[in-house]
Amino acid sequence: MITKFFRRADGTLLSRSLEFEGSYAMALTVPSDAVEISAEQAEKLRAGHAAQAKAWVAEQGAAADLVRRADYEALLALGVPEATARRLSGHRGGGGDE
Amino acid sequence: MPQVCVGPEFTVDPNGRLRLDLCGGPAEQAWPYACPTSSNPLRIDPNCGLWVPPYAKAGRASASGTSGGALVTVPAGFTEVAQAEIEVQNPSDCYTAIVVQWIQVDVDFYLPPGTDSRAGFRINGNSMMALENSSPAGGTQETGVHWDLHQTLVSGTIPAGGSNTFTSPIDVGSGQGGAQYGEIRWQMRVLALAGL
Repeated sequence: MITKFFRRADGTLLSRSLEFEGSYAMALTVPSDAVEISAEQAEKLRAGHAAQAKAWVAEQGAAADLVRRADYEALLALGVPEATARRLSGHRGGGGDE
Repeated sequence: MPQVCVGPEFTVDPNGRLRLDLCGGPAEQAWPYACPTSSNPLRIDPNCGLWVPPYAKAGRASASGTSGGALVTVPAGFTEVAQAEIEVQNPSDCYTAIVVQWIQVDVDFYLPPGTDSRAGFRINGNSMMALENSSPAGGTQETGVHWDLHQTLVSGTIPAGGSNTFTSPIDVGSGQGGAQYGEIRWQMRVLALAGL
C-alpha cells in the first residue's frame, strides 16, 4: 500500500492511500489544490487539529458544567436535599458553598 | 481413372490410412486482430491457425483518503467538503470494462447540547445520515460521533486499454445549533470487469 499526505492552504490535512493487485497498474490520485508533505509533517498537523478539537470539547463541557451547577444551586435553594439536587441537575463538581 | 490430389495437410499413417492433420498452432503472441465486438470472435490465420480472442479480465483496487482540519461549523445547506476518488485502469486492452464502486464514508461530528444541534452528510448527492442532539442545556455533548456508511454504484465504464478516474463528492450539511464536523474518512473499492 502506498500512502501520501497533502496540505491545503487552509491547513486541511489530506491523505491518500492505494491498494491494488499484482500487475494491475494504478496511480494514486493527487489533490490538485494541495501540496505534498512528509508523514512527520502530517502527524504534526493532525496533532494540532486533535488539540483544537479537544479544546472545543473542553470549552463546551465547561459551559455545560456551568448550567448544571446553576441548576444544582437552584435546587439547593429550594431546599432539595443535596444528593437529590446533584442527581437531578447532573452536577458532578464540588458542593454548593465551594 | 479419376485422380485425387491431396495437399500437405494430409499424411499417410503407418497403417496406410490417409489422415488429415489439423494445422496451425499459432505462435505465442498478442492477439493480432481487431478486438471482437458482437460477431463470431474466432479467427483463422493464413496458415490455418485458429485464434480465440483475448480472455475476459477483472481488476480490483482500493483507494482511501482522509480530510481533516480544525473543527468547522456544519453549514445549513449541503456543501462539498471532500472528494473520494480513484483512478482505475481497464485490465483489458481489448474490451470495455464495466465498473462496480463501493464508496464508504465516515465523518466525525461534534454536537453540543441545548441547541438541538444537527448535522448530516451525503455521498454523491445521496443523503446518508442526519443526526440531532436533542439533549437540554447541561446535557450530553456528542463528541466525535461517527457512522461508517456505504453507497454502491454499478455505473461507469472504462474504454479498452484506457483508464478513468471515478469521483464521488462528499457533502456535509443540515447543520444547526453549532454542530461541528472534524475528520472525513473515505474508501473506494472498485471492481472492473472487462469482456464479460
